[in-house]
Amino acid sequence: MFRLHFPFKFLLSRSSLYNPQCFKSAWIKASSASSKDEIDVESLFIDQKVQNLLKNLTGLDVEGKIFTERNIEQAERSHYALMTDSMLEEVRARMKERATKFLQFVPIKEPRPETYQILSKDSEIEGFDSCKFVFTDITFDATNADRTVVIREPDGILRTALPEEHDRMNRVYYEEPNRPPFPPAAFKDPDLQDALDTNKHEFVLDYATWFYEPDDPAFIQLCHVIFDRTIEANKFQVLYSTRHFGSLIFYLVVNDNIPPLLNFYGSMGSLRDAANVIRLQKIVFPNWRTAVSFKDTDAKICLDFIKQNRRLKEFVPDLMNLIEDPKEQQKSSRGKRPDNKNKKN
Amino acid sequence: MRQLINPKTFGRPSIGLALFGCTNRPFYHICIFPDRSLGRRYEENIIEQVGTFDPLPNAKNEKLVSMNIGRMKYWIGERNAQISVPVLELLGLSGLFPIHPKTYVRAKEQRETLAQQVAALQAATSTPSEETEKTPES
Repeated sequence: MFRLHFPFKFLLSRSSLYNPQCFKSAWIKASSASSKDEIDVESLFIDQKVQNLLKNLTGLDVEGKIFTERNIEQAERSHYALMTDSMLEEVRARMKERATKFLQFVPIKEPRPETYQILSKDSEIEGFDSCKFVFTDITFDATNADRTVVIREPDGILRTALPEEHDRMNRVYYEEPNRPPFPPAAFKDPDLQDALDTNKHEFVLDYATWFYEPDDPAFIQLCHVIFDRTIEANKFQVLYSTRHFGSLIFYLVVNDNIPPLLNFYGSMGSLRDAANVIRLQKIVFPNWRTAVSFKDTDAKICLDFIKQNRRLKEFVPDLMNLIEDPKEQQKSSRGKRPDNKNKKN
Repeated sequence: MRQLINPKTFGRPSIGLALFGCTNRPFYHICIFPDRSLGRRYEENIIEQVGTFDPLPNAKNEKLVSMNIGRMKYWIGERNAQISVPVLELLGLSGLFPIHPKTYVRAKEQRETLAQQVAALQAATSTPSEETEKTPES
């Protein structure tokens, strides 16, 4: 491609002519209701409004989730300190800041195309060997994505490597701890199902993020499987306030499957988060008929959404309880949820 | 004292496969050796290692070859290194150099032996059927 100046390059890369992935995103399943729309998943995820909403929805459970007890190799001493109330508040604020760094999102990207280019067809050397030859270029100043990997087949064809082969060569020649050449058994059934049954979703997803590249088709497939099983088992609490919850929310919104999420936020007792999910859906699927104004309160947004989608009413019982008996809910737990008092966002 | 020579800068270096590994498990490093007049090639004589070649296929029936193309370009282009035939074959198969004549010869011979084996197998399977045909006639 010839070099273009900034605005044209940006527009061209977003137009569906030069970006065939706009037609069908890998994050939208064929069976979902939104599969007919052409959504640019990557640029939507990067959008600042979407990022802010996802950050609010991910939650920030500092003591319960992010700084819980973890298994570590070297034993550490506990630290005790005698503090005034103001010092304690300062320490809490600093820990909250540090905790936000653990919640940086895993990038959502379209997978690399699983196609190869044929560089040369030398049928005269057919049968020179019974095995393929894989050539990796280990020049010093190349990154993992930049590396050249070519394969000479036994029938003489010289081709570029598929994403799986390319990443495998990177793992062979540039070893990192806990990154063997072949994917570990934890990413396949039955070990995957065992891990999910024992609520190790965060561990498996963290391992996958370390092992794979974010645009690896195998990684995206694994994320789909884990997210689907989490939704089926309704185990949102396991991934709440982790760095993978943002991907889970976005996956649900893009596949037009919000009710499980609304129900989860309803059961948590937070109308604001349920309303934020609906706001997020309006950004991803803009519709002037059902648009949301910034003056609407959270309760109004939820009520309007349920009025417009009556068929979903039975899937969100907890949210219905929250909307219908808000006074009872607030009276019973006034100390626990100060957020509900600030309804205007 | 006679003039001391730095093997890294003297004469014409050569690129070749150096055999490492252990019993029943060969493994080759693609190495730069100094000029042949300074001595035969042995492990302590290696100037630089520039790649690897694993002759035993892995679980996916692949033979893995790694090549530090940047450094190879320096030794071949700037320093005019001699390249041994196995390394020339590997470079040809990788697409950087034209394919070596020895690869064509080996491929042709392999195809001929395969054809002979197939013909021998066919002959072996057809002769019992010929014998069974003959017995009912007689």
